[in-house]
Amino acid sequence: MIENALKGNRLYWIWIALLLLVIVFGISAFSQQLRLGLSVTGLGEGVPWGISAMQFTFMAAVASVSVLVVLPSYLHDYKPFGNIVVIAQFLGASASAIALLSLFIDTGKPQLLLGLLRYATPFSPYSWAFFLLNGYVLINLVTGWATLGAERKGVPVAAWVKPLIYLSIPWAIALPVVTGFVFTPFSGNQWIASLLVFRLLASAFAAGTAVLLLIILILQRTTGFDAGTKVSDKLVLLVAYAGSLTFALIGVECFSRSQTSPLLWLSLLFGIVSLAVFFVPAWKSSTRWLMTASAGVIFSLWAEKGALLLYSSTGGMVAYTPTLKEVSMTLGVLAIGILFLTILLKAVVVVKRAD
Amino acid sequence: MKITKRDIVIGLLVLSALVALRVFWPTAKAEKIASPIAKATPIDSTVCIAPTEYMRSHHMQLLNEWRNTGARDSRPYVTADGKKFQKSLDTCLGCHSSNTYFCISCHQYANAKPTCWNCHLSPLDKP
Amino acid sequence: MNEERREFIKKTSIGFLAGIGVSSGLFLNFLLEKTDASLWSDKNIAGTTRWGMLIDMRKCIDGCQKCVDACRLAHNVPDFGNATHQIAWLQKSPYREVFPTSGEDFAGKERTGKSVPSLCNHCADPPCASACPTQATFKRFDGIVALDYHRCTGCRSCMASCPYGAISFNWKEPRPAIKAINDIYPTREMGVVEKCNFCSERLLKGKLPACVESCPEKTLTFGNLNDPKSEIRLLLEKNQTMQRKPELGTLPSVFYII
Ligand code: SF4
Ligand code: SF4
Repeated sequence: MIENALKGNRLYWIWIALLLLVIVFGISAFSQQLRLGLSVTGLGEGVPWGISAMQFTFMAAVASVSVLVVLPSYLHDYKPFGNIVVIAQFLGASASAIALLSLFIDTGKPQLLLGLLRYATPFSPYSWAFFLLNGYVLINLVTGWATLGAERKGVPVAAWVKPLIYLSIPWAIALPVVTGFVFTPFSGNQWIASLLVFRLLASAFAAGTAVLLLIILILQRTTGFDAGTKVSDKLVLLVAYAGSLTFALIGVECFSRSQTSPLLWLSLLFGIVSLAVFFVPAWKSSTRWLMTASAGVIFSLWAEKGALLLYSSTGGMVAYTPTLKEVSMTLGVLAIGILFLTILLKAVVVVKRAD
Repeated sequence: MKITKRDIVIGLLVLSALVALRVFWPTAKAEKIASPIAKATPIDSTVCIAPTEYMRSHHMQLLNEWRNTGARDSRPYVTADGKKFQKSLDTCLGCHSSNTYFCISCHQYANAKPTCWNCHLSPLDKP
Repeated sequence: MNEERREFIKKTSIGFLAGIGVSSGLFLNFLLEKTDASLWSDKNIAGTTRWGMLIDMRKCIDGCQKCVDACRLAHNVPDFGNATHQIAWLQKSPYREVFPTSGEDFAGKERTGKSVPSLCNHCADPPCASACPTQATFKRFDGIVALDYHRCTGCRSCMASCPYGAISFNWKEPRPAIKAINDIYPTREMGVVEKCNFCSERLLKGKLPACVESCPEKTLTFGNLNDPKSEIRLLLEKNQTMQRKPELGTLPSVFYII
């Protein structure tokens, strides 16, 4: 099935070339970082983590979306979602791969990162995150591939895949929770810290469904793969629910902190405006509006993660501007993940269009 | 696949076994010595840790072990014949730095690039 | 369930078990690795050790940097001369930065005007050690929060979780920035964190920490907090002392007399 990645129209190849270009920039920046250390980034005293860590949290959150598709379609036998289970699983795999790579480029000695498995520490959230992400890539790739294979042959999914799929459900919920704990030192104030994990869980589902919706809409436009209105309606509903909860919690934080990071205000503003689209019947039936609004929600939740990092763990706010090298590394990692996803989705689309 | 009662019971058993394991896992007990300062074994650099032949072929294993355990296990390294050594590169260098090229000449010949000298000062780095 | 499938499930579960076996090879280290904590206690129990320090600000001279310099020299701490990449095990900073939550916003200059030496508190409940994914930062047998540079991956979880900013990261290659190399202590390399080790290498030789020794005013007192007869205990009994951010529950082992 994978050989389909080598066939495509002009648009497809332009897209691949673009991704490769970004990746090349990223790799060159990363090789400089290997030589000169993390001094090439905008990080420093009091600012231990930056945009790369932000991408890590965001992508760990997006990865968990597959549960929102897998759970209804396997546990509650909700048929329409059966159509997009594979897409959700592949999205889960690529998003966790991006999250892992973001950790990789963010460590001082990446060559020792495997030691994280060897010295796994049960009370370290970072250790959990690393372990869970690795597992999640594997689970989703295996189950996704098996599901797709079964679909191509027109047979039901093999029995051995089911336990793995069930396993992926708690696994997916654990991902945003664990990354939430990684970031609690940045929450500043104790009762906000207690809300943080819930907020990250809610925002994970909002961001994840928004990404999934965007992908499905893009596929619809570019490849003609149609998931069906039932699916997109349901996803719109999910974004609306999870998004409302998230922005309520973000609002609580914005209005209760004595000093709120401007990024969080930006996130709230963008979020509420974009979310409105998901509620108004006239707007949500237009693909163009939906795509814009999904992008808005994604951007807003990206900013939410960024806001976290602007709080200093020793109190107050920090001054942090990412450098160009840092940005190209982070984007490079993102591009690697998207390339990976593109190739996987190519196979999906070919199979789906065949039947 | 259907989840049966039996599966749930087995799952619960496994879970409780794991919890029990966590709770009752034995913690290592070291010999109690009143003052931590007295625990220190002076660096004994007067005798060899192991026969030359063995060290020539196996020093990396020994040093690896010392590196991995030296920081957190305060007990000294005890050889088969009962000699005690503090697990530190300085224990070796106490004698071996008298020849400045002791490590490097052989490593260069064998094209081995140990990472020791990234942090530890090699006899060459010392004034 | 037909025969073939049953066979398949059997095989996959055997594979799964084998996988667990292999990974236990990886994890074995974690299960068997025990830091020897036999001598340590955060409770005040005689016969156990918890190293601590008392800093008497009544004696500290403003502008004096002797302790800071002694520490830099003793441990080959690099000096990059810029705030962003600065590395410090011990530093003197303004009172309000050291005690931002002490509730002394209106106290007079004589209490809050001086810059205060600050270092790792060797907390009895250290958040840095629980955050570290490889246990490179860990609590030692004598209460010292130690760092095993060999396995630090440079993830900076510890920095993020230390509420005192006591940990620094090597953003650049440190060796060129070391003014005078001290050849009895290693340096660090690019990409790992570093922090105060309460001079454990000197304790091993029966010596006091370098900063304590270097202070001409005897501002710093070092000793075992769990030993009722130690000098530090007598001072702690007689004086009103405070810790940094006690409200966080990290139980610092470094105390201050203001
Ligand atoms: S002061 Fe910071 S680095 Fe030191 S033990 Fe406490 S939390 Fe860890
Ligand atoms: S930077 Fe090093 S010491 Fe700190 S948490 Fe990461 S691995 Fe542990």
